Amino acid sequence: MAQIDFKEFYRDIDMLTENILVDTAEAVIRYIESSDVIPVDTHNLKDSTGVGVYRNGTLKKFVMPRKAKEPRIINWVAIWGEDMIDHVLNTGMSNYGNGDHIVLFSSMPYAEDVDSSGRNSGFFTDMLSTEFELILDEIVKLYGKKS
Amino acid sequence: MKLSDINPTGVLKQVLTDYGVTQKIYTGDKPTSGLPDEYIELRQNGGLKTNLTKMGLVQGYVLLSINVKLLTTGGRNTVRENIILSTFDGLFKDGAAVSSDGYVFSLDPGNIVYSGGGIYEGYSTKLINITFRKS
Repeated sequence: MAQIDFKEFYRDIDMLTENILVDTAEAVIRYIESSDVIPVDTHNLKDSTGVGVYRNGTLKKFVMPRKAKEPRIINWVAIWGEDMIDHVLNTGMSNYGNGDHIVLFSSMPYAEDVDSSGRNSGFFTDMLSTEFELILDEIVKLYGKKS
Repeated sequence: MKLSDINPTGVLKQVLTDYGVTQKIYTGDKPTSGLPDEYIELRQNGGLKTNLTKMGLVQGYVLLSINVKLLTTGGRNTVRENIILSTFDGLFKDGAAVSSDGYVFSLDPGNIVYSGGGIYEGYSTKLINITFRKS
């Protein structure tokens, strides 16, 4: 009997953890959508940003701000979110096989260039990831509130 | 159990077909062009987990995607999306598990991974996690 109760407790904690991860991913996308935080020229960089939630290598949630109607053309190659979802699935086991992860993705090849130099240097790896942590803290606090 | 014996996507495809799903189902054999207006794709999501207290028991996830061509206006065909989705409500009704060929499939509690456009060109997509166990 006690073992059954413990299993239910473990399941509840597991679901709570997952809810926090999913809520955080959605909050990050809302943050990206609601402002001009992503350096924009054509909005394609913003459109191509997604957040994935992994638990032990399994993709449990994927959130994207865009509702794309046209691909981004780079060097005469059309790039769609499909490239990202394949990447998101393929990297799950290899990079995020153990534990819980929230991962910010961009399917645009030039996102790395934007981040590494120029006026928006450090945008993804510094500014947005810091905001990511603040949002996670806020979400955890919300769950910690007693009603 | 041999690793080569583990083929959850193939078995789930058969389960769906037997249940009456009429949409084309791809399990790694999706063509790059000439796709139908509605189709389903099955892919393994993440790795396999073994319960060491029961040697031979393997668990994992299959990511099921339901893809419906966008309307000529560019909008989502939510009517068709809901009709196809309701098929799975029936199959996994009230948390039911479906057994076939040594596998047990059920909907993951937080089953909707993604719903929207922008995943596949010209289609709206729903990504759904289905858990499997094989003994």
